[in-house]
Amino acid sequence: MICEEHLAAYCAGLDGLPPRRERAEARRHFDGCASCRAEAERLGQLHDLLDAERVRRAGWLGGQSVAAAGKPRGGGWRLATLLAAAAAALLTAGLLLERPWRSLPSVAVIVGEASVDGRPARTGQVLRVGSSVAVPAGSSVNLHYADGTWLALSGAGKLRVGGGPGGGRDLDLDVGQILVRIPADAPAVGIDCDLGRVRAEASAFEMALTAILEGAAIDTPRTLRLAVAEGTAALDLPMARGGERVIVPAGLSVVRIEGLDRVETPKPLLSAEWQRLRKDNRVPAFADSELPAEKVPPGAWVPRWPGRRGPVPGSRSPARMLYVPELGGGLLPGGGDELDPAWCYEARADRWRMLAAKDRAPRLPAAGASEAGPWIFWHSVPDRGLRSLPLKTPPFRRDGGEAAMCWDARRERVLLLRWPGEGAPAETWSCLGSGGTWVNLRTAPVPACRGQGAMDYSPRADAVLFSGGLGTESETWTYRCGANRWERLAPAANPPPRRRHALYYDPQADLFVTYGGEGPGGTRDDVWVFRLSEAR
Amino acid sequence: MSTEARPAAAPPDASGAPSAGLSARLASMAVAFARSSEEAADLHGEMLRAAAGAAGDDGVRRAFELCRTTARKGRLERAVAEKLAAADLPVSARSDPAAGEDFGAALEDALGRLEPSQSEALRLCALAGLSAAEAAAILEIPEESVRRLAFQARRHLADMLVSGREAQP
Repeated sequence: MICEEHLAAYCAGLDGLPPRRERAEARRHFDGCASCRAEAERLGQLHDLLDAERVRRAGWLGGQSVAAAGKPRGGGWRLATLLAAAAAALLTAGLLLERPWRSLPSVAVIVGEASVDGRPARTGQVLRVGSSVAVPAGSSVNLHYADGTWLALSGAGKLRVGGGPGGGRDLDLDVGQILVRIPADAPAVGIDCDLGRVRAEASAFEMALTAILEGAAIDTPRTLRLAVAEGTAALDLPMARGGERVIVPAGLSVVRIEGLDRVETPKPLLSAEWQRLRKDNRVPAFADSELPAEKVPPGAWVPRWPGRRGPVPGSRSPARMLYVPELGGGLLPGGGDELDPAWCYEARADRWRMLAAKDRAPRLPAAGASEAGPWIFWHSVPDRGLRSLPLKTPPFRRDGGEAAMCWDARRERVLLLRWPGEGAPAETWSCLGSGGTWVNLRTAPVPACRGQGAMDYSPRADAVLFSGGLGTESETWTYRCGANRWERLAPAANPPPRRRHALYYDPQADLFVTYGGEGPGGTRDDVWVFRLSEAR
Repeated sequence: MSTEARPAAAPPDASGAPSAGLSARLASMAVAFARSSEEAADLHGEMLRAAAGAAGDDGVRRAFELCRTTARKGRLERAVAEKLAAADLPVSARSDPAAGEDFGAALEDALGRLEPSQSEALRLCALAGLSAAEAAAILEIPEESVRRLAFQARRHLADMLVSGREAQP
């Protein structure tokens, strides 16, 4: 039999079992024929795609198409054939198998208004080799490969999907920030840009490339930043002045600024400098994000990295979140359509979950609603779901200012922290349920920032945690309800300064979770958690 | 392909309406040839009417002609859309390739570029979930020809959808 016939037998096997003799012959042939192995892998990937499409279409007629809705077929034979062939090839020739199908993202999760090849992108879209992806500010594209490799282009950026048997899984990054996570057993990923090339395997890193402004002078500095969290990444700059290659190990970062008049040699940052940058929140604190949720110590902000476990919603501002017991996590309401889905963050698992259409909640003024609009306060009640609570118009409504709100479940009251205006100290107010009277709790001291912060209440600690807000510093405050007293906390590190962000308390994990908002670096998509010590 | 061919389509009941088994089989074929759930529902209804009163595989073959017509209509719409696009004229949303960027739309586009015999064989085997023997009975060609046509179709589709190359049927 010739190659074509073996491949035809293999294809027949994808839909069922071919005769035993043909199966054995195809397996023997694949042992020694690398091109057929590669072709079989390619056909196997197509089979997976067709199978997924078959199952999708089976739902069109309400499950009537039973033949089409059956289980995926032929997988066992295909796997057995390829595994046997691959094992034999590795043993006999010592060759590493090329897996072309792995060079394509199995799915792209689009958050916001990204476009692919100039057309609006869809969540779940399969990107082809050569696809150009453009992401505006406030959106993100997460590319998921079959082997667990994950790449996320977040914020304003552009890239082109590489790949193919010869090209590996290369991407061309035009501009923007990309986060990459490559599992230990996955092939390498290469990211090309006009300043150089990053290549890494079994690694986690962040790469950012600034844009040359349209119409700007040609010597406008262009910056390449690379921060490695795990493993190593090789940075090649053959086209740069004096061409060079730098191996960047975990925990280090390089910055390259390129312009005709200004060239800085990339230098690995010394450990002390890394620590300083960490303190200034200028590089991601990847290492801490590995800490399991149950081991988060009291009194410390710890960054999370849910992107390693699946799709993430990207950056949002303003962001409002609310813990919903039925969902088992924090609800991030969406716009109710595919391009703006609702998400749920599970603090214990450090994972975002995109909610199905039936769970998609409309945008709602969650805990922390500002004084704008009617005074309807939303909170969630175990076994009763989301509840809206109309509040009596407070005496300070016409005064303007900024406010943060939360629900004190123990006393069934709304707590509100407001800033009357420039120069005036903040005030803490409470309102006992629907129709209750607003009472100024006359607390002192009070958080010094000037509004747009967020807060929530922990029944376990019987305290409120407040963070962020207008101002250059990032502050964390707690309000001990029993003592009617605000206290500024001094955690070892604070999340980067932000405002208009979400903050909610997750009782399952006993953690406060903060996400999104905006700060000096733009709109944010990072997640941090904080455990408040019990009431004293 | 499965070596176990399904039993021949059940005869219609006393009222002449297709049996539940036949209806499910026609539904599988309808979703394999339609481009949307609405089109699948319409096609399935027409197929049921066409198959009513016919015995065994005759009903399936009669209904399959409607699938063929649907596929032909799709190819025609695509050809018209390409000509309109070449002349820089507005293209209706239905036939605009941009209307579906997901895999389903890309697959329909790619299937439309294949020889009709290849795409029919692949639709029946890969999307309708029929065995080669069942597809052969419907297409009225030898089983081996069905396997060959489906294989050729797979290779062309892999070029277009996996490797991103233009098909060369």
